[in-house]
Amino acid sequence: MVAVGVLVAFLALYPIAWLLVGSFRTGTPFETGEFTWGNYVDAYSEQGIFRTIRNTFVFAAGQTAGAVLLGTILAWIITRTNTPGRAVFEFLTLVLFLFPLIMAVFAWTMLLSPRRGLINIVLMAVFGLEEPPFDVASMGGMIFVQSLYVTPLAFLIIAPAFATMDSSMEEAARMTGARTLRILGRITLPLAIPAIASASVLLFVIGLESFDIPQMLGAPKGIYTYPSLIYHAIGVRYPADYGLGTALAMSLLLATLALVYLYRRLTRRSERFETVKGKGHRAAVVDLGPWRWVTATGCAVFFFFTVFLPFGVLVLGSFLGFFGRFTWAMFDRLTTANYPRLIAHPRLIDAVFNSLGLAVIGGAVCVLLAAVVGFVAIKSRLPGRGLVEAFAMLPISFPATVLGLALLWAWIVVPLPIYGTVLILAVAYITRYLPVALRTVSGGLIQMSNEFEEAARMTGAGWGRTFWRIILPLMRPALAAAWLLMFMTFVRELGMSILLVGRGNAVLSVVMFDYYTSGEQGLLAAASVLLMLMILTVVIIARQVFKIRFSQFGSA
Amino acid sequence: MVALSAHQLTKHFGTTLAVDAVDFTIPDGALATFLGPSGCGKTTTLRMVAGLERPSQGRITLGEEVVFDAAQGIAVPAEHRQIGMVFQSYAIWPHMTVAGNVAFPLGIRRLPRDEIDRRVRDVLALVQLDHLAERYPAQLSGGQQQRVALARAIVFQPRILLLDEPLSNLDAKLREEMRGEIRELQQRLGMTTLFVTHDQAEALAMSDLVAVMNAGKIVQVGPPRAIYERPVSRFVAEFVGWTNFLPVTLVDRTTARLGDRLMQVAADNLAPGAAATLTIRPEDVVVEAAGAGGPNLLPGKVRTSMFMGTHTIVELDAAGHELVAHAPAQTTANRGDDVGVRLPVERMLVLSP
Repeated sequence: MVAVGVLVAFLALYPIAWLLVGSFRTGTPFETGEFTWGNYVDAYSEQGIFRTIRNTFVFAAGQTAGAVLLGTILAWIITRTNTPGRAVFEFLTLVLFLFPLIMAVFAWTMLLSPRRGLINIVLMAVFGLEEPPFDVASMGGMIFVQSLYVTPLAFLIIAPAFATMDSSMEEAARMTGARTLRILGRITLPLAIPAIASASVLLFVIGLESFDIPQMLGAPKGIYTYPSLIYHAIGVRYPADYGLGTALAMSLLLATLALVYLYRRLTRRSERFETVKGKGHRAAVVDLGPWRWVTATGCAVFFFFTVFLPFGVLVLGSFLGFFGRFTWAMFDRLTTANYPRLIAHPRLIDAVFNSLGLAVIGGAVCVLLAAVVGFVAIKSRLPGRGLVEAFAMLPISFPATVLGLALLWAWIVVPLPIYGTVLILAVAYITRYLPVALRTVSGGLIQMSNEFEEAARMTGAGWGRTFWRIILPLMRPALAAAWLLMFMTFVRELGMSILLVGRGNAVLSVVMFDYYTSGEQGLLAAASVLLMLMILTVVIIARQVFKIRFSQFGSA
Repeated sequence: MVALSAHQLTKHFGTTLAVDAVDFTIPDGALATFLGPSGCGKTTTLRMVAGLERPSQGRITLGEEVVFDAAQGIAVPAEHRQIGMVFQSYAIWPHMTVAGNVAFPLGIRRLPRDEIDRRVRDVLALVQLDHLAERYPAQLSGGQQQRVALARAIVFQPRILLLDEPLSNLDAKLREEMRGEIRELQQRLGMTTLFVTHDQAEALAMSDLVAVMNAGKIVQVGPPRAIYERPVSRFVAEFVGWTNFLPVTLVDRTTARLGDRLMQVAADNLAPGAAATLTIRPEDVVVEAAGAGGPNLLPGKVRTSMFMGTHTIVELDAAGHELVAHAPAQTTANRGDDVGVRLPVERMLVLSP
């Protein structure tokens, strides 16, 4: 118990402590430095820094608005209406959730880039436009693509609020004479406001932290947000500007810490919103009548543009040496050469093995640690259990880029052979995503009756044996769900990896990022198709074997 | 005048038959209760009347208007039926104040602002909540939420009022209080009310008319006293209050054989020679001194005797049968005492076995 507490505190605090130190000293982690305020002064007199601040907030706010709007509509349609194909749409929301952002960016570049984008070409042809109407490499494009792919996160928070809503609230409104639309506006939506507010705060934090899309779509055009500017300072500038990087990272960390605190306050307050509950039934389905075909069509269009079209474009791209401008002639250039080239790429093979190893083993370690922490925090009566949970949850407010930089610094200064190995990636992933695993595992623990373990204790089992023989087996569904979530997250992680990957520890996401920046379109498309197939295989097997439901990924 | 009637009302959920061709009529101004164990179809029946559940078969008539008829394809939606309803969970909207909740139905009817204010004030005064009008539901007790639900259901002067187990979320003392209050209010307003409960005491205390339901069917309808005193089956006798059962064989219309004893009975409904069940309420069993004479007297031995304040519960072994008697409070009986157990013929019913 003490060991677990020390471990989670160490994981969360040690790198951040070095980041703090780094931001107040001169020089790089490889050299000795002196105390200075200069890093912050320099960072905030950096040219364009105020544009970066504005960009960061505009991007975060824009994608929050988009994702919360889409997520609310989708959640209501899927959980509360008789729209045909709801089960399919729910599965597609999961697919969307798993869609790696690097693939989304790549696919949407092929759809919305000004010269070559398929949608631009089609629109120009249909409406006879002189200029391409869209440019994905812009603030609008960044917000658009990001909104689509974080919509499932909003869905995950908002859908349970709809699904567990006491439908007698709405029935009571019907009995007083209100019709469907008025009930939706006056009763259903207001009742979901606490969940929508939590989703908004969380999405805003995610927007502030986002690295992939600002880096891939914005940075090449000089549109920086905090995370991409941090990466620019450390990973692009030569020599690396550690002062700028650490000062920006500390600023961003303060903002996310404050917002996560607000989020926790909000979610706690929402409990007070509850009144007497009826029988614990699922909320009744609203009969939309003929309008259900409208909602079904809307969902189908949404998933066509977010899942099928991008994936189709990627498949097509994987059979082309160079995607280029979309023309019918490109179908004459189809080739299967990308796949053999991909497999012959030694760095890619290493990266696949590293990624899979990290996802499978690192994911399992992370879930096991989450289970122990969850058990201590929820089931034990040990003093200090709240503190253990608090330390374990702390990294939820660490932006990936910030934690990546902090770990970089923290492990360079230690004379242990960890920096530059797969191990540092494992530490990074486990630290950053322990809170997410813990949340998923806690859901299972809270539902479990205390009497199971009390019965074990009464038969004479100590708490170690109780944990291994009783708690862990009973938690199997929650553990499986948490592991699956960790697998998916680790396989795709880019924001930390890109700062921590050196020569010997390449991972798939970084290799794909390199393909993206070096214009290896064929290889990137082929790698994307393989990655997506790999992810879908694992998901479908896990759904069959462990009966995992998407809703188990929801936040507590 | 009939306020509500149902004809051959039926509801299937998949392959299960929840409500099985039920008929009933409720006179204007009456409080009628559906009483039955959970899963008997009483709530489903109520929800079909409300319009929240679509019947598989049958017809529902509200006053003169047919609001549902499967044969003619008539199905008036719930929001157009003008029915007030109190839900088991109360369903008070937590994001609106008490006054906001009660004003909602009036806003839908587009009444002028001052008219709404006046009616909200009046109805809140009626349920004694006028001082809490600006509170939010989360700040109210269970009993107060219940009153808000009631106020919201009657404020738009509905044609009938439906109450779905409205007292089941309250503690015992409050439940008895609200029982009386709801009944008083219902009679004062003359509001035709359909009430669903599994609590027989509630049903007996509040109703003009009780319909006992079991397995999707109405098994007996009548005023509370008739249901209690003249149950038509073992199920009703057992579900509505506690009762004793004795297995007998009928000899003729006035005599039954209990073991090797002959008992005087009044059995007009069953054929001689048939097996039957005698039933008698505990409060009708008379405990006497041993050795007394007269008809229908069984020799008994006291097993336990529990003083309850208002009466004494005596558990007896009477000629090899277990019997429970509610004797007057002053009765003193001790375990092992020999007593006489008299079963007055006019208090006994003969039912099918």
